[in-house]
Formats: sequence, C-alpha cells, structure tokens
Amino acid sequence: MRLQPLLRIVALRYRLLWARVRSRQGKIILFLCGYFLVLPVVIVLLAGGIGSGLAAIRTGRAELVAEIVLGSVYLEAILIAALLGIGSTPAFSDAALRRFPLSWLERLGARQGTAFLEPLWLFILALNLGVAVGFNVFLGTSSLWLAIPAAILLVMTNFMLARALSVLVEWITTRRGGALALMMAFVLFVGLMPFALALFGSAAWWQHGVRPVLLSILQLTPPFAAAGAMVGSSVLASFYGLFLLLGWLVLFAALLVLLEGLPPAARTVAGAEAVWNSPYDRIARAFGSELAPLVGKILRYYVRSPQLWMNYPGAAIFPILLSFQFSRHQSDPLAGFLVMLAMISVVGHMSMGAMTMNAFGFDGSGFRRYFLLPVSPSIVFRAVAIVPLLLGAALIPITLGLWAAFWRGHVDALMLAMLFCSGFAGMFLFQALGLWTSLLTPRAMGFKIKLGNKLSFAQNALLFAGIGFLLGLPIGLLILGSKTVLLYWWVLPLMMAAAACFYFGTLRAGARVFTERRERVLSIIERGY
Amino acid sequence: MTHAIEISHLAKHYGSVVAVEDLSLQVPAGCFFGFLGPNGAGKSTTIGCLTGLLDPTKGEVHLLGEAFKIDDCISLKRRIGVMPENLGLFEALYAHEFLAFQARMFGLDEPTTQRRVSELLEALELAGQGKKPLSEFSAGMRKRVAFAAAVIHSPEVLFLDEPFESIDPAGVAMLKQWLRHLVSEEKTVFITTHVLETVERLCDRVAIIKNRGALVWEGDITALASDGAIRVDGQEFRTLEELFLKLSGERYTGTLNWL
Repeated sequence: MRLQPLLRIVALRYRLLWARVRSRQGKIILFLCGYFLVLPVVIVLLAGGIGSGLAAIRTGRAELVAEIVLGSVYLEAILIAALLGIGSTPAFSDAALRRFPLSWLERLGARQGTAFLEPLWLFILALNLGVAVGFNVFLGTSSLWLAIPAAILLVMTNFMLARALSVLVEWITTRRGGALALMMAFVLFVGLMPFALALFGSAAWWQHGVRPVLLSILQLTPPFAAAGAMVGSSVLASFYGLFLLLGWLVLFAALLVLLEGLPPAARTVAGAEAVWNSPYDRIARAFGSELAPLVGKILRYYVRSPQLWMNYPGAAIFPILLSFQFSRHQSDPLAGFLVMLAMISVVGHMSMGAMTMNAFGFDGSGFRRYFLLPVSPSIVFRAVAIVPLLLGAALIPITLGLWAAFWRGHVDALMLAMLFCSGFAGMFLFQALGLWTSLLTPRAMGFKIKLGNKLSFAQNALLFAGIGFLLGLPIGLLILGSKTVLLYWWVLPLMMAAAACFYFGTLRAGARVFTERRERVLSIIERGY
Repeated sequence: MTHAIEISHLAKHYGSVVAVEDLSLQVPAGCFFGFLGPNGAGKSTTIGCLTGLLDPTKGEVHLLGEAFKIDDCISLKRRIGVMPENLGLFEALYAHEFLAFQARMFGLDEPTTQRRVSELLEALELAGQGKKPLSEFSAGMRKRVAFAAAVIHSPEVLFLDEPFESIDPAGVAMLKQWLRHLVSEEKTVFITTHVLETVERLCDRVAIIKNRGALVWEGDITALASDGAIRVDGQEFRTLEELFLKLSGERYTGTLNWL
C-alpha cells in the first residue's frame, strides 16, 4: 500500500470541506473558529485523563480506574458513531475512489482514513492519550513508549468496531422489516438494561461465581487490554495488552471488510403490476384535488423512508419505557405522569427522523419539479408541512394509549388532556422549526440514507434541542412536582395554542420564503452549495 | 404569424454572475425549434426562465400569447410541458406513481390518468417495472420517464432540455416520431441538444447563442433536411455543424503534443 496517494485523498477530503465552507459568506470565520476550538477541547480532554490519574492515586486502584475510564469512553464513542452516525461515515465511497489508480487496499485505507480523521476520533484519541500520560506522570506506571501505542491502538479498534457496527446496522435496515426489527431490539435493550444492571449489582449474582468468569472475559476486551498495557505491573503485561489490542484490530478490520462486502438487499420487485388507488392515494384524497397528488407523493416519501421505520416505533415506545424508568425511586406518586408529560412533547417530532428538518433535501433533482407544476408554491409548502404533521399527530394518541394501558398510577381526564396538549404543543413547535430549517439551511441528502449525520448546523441544533427536551424537561417537571404542575394545568393549553399559532404563522410566512429562496435551495440540493 | 414563445430582452443574473443578458427571440406556433449553443452559453437558464423555474432578472416572456409572470403563471403552466435538465424526478416513487402524480397535478382525471400512464409506459417499454423506484432505473429509462411526464397532459408547447442523450437508438427514433407528430398537430417543440444531425433533420428553425445568451443567428434550416444549403452573411453552409462552428466562436486550434 502506497502512503502518498492515501495522504492525497485525505488532503482532498479536507480541501473539499474547506471549499464547501468558503463558498458561503461568513462561514470562513466559523470554520477557522471551529478548528481553533479543537485545541482547547483537546486540552480539556487531556486534563480529563490527567484527572483520572489523580483519581487513581487517591483510590489506590490504578488499573480499575483506567479500565472504567477507557471502557466508558469506548462505549460512548461506539454509541455516538454507530447510532448518531458522527464520525462513522467515510467521506468517499468505494465507487468514487475507483476513478483513481488505487488498489483495493489503498481504497480501503483511504476510505477508513478519511472517516478516522473526523474530529470525534481525534477527541477520543486525546482522551485516551490523556489517560496514558496521566497515569505515567502521576503513578509512573508502564513506559510511555508502550502506553502511547496502546492509546492509539485502542482508538483504532474503537473506530473499526464503530464502523463495522454502522455498516451492519445499515445492512440490516436495507432488509425488509430490518429497520423496525433493529429499533425494537434497541428499545428492548434500553428497556431491559436497568433490570440487567440491577441483576449485575445483586449479591446473589456474585455469590454464584459469575464474577471471576465475567472479569476474565472483560480482561480480554480492548479497553481492558489497553488499561493493562498502560498500567501493567510489568513490561510483559504491557506487551500482552498491546498484543491483544493488535489482535482486536485485525479482527475488527476483517469484520469490517466482510460486512462491507455483503451484497445489498434486492429491493426491486420487477415485473410487478402497477397498483392504482393505493392507501397513499386514498388518504391523500381527503385533502382535496389540489393537494391530493402532492400529499400522496410526500406520504410515499415518508413511509418508504428507512428513517421513519427506525424512528416511528421507537418514538412511541421509548418515552413509555423512560417514563417508567425515570419515575422509579421517585417520592412523587405521579412521577410517571410528569415524565410522560415531558416526553410526549417530542414524540410528534422525533418520530419523523431528519426528514421534517430537511424536507426538501431528500427530493434531489425532483425539487425543481415543484416549480414546474401548475400550482402555487404555497400549496406545495402546505403539502410538505401536512404529511409529517399527520404522521406525528397519529403517533401521539397511540403513545398515550400504550402508556395509559401500562400505567398503574392515578390518571384522570384532566391529566390526559394535559398530555395531549403537551404532545401537540411540542409537535407544532418542533415541526414549525423544522420547516424553517428546511427552508433556510437545506442539505442534499440521499433518500436511502439511514445513518450518518449530514444535517446542517441549524438542523443539528434542532435535533439536539429535541434530545435536550427529552432529557431535561422530565427533570424540570419532577423538581416542580405533580401538585404544582396540576395546579397550573392551564399553561399547557396556552402553550399548545401558542405553538399552533407559531406553526400556522410559519405556514404563511414560510410559503413566501419558499418562493423567494427556491433558486438558492435548488442550488444547494442539486449542487451542494 | 402567431408566436408560441416570445422573449424580449431577457436577462438572468446570479448575484454578480451573468448567465443570460438581453436575449430576444420569437418562436412561431407549430414550429420545431432548436435552441443551440456551446456549454455554459445559457440554454438551460433560458429554459428555466421560460418555464417558471427561474425568476428572470429583466425582460419579458410571452407564451401562447400571454405574459408569463413567475407569480401568476399557473394557467399557462398547464399548457406547457417541460423535460428539465437533471430530469427532476422524484427518485423514491415508482414510474407509474410518478407519472400519475404528474398527470393529476396537471388536472387529468383518474381514469384518463390511468389510461395515459399505462399507454405511455407500454409505448416507452417501461411497463412491468411496477415496484422499482426511479432511483434504480438506468439513465436512458429515467430519461424516458421524464419525457413521458412532460407530454402526459398533451401540452401545447413542449420544452426539452437535452432530450436524446443516454437513450438508445430505438428510443431516440421513437421520440423523434412522437415529436414530429406533435408538431404536425400544430404544437410547438423547443429543444436544446448538442446532437446537431438530429436538429438538422427535425427542426424547422434554429437559434444559436453564445456566451451569456447572446443570440448570434436565428433562422429557417428546412433546406438542410433536403440536402440543400443555407446562406448566412453571404456564405453557404451545407450542414448545421459547419454553421454552428462558424458562429459559436473562436476555439483552440492547437495540438497537445503529449496527447
């Protein structure tokens, strides 16, 4: 494998990144600031590692502290990369690299190299290096010449595993029902996790001799192997850790190559008869002849999107599970209700995936057709807004019905009304914001995309605002307590009315912006700038 | 003579970039009109301005005798058909769904939509692709679908941006036959293409533009189809290619020794 072409591809990736940024006014400064910010963040992460070293001194259990820190970082990186798609997508596809005179191995290296040099992995590397340096400086453990390679190898295995999982998830979701199955598995995993942890912590579990077996298995995992290499009692122990890491690296790389070679699912049913009067058309007809074809088209886009199948069931079940988990060990008897009151506010938005935040980005060159049609752009904009509202609104009563079926505490009509108001207020608010991000900061997006985060800054901000709501609002309501919340029940209908006003105001104002910005949006969607 | 398309002093600027500047042109009704020019001359931008996709910076456009204004052109849009550059397909739809969408948007009722979609798919050899999203169609098949979408509502003026590229010879022959039929029915066809032989055989009139939409020649070319010649500025041209190369501007004539 030649290193020079590989480095050229990596440089090209950064040049393209730069080119994309420089084409927009004011973004240059943002780009520079963003990259200059990396330095302080790296310093903070290094300090985190040094902090771990200090913690190890205080507790006197260096290897255990290293194992916990490295293990947590390892798992978090996998979750961020494999689930949120950050730092797990190569900048170039294999097909794109075939244009250049590169061997298979060089293409593989270039693709993984461009993904590996994403900021996420640099942060993880900084943290791992921090642990290695921190332990060496404060405890004098191992040699830096062994600890630093261990930190580098650890982040490489971490990256390879995250990539392999991303590819696996991507592959599963291309199979029929795969996205749904995957989401259900994830929900079950999250739902059962607290019970598993409770079992893990119980004394009976340990008394049956599970601990030594479990620990001996854990010792073989990459973060524990790296901890062994960094804090190992002897040079031999450190070499053993390094050897294990190398083994994992080879294994994960082989797994990645194997998974990337899996044949794509055949989604085509050639020879099938054309279906007229499908359920999409029947639903769309309810919106009148002018809107019906557009609603039918957009409904098809949503329902055929793997994103919807991944998010929709999870958006219903996840809040219910979290409401039961959050409310455990709470003194307030209506804690479950309070948590659900918060959670339901994001159901109508989070269930749609990225599509509501980037409504036109999935149309590709089809976007230009909206302006060739003999309808006013405001009709198109209304149709674009109606469909996610319809799908999101349908999920709110389903979620509440499921919650009510399992909820064992008190619930009355007022509480149910509050839940509905919360659900619709959140849906109106977030979907209106989604319409604005779709108009003002669109991004070209492949329709089949399931993973990978290609959203714009504003779209990401909206996404994380939703996640923040999901996590922060329940805590806020629990602090207020059920008595206060029930006393001020009337705030919720007011919030819903305000959110609805904002939404309908967005429909009016957004239609004008849609017309005015069409050439800009078209340029971004078709050319990427 | 009535004009299907009248453009006067059309200009389109993208910020400081001038794509088209002061283009004036008239296309008679029932004419097969070729709109030619080198790459980047402003052909697609002009079509964008004529079809409601782009908002002209200056100038006026009249289609079928009516002023075409971007904010008030819905009734006129129903009377034109467009096959845009990049085709403008909704990739996640199946072919019949996409064509039915297009037909319904242009006001066709359901029975007519189903009949025309089935007939078009059959004629364009796209039948039997029931559950295949357009994203999985070949380039030629996608072009056929885009063509079908442009004609499904029987437009009076048809705009085709590079219609023949990527389509196999049999498909091209069929499209040519359909286009000739449209023109024989007094409908107007406005095409841009780089295949000059095709233009020579099909078109009645041609306009050649250069940089920024500057019109360098416009005239009747029917003589070329019958092996005749046309005279431009006292010079005789037997093929459209000769004329195009002469009028479309200076070009590099050197050789690349290393090639």
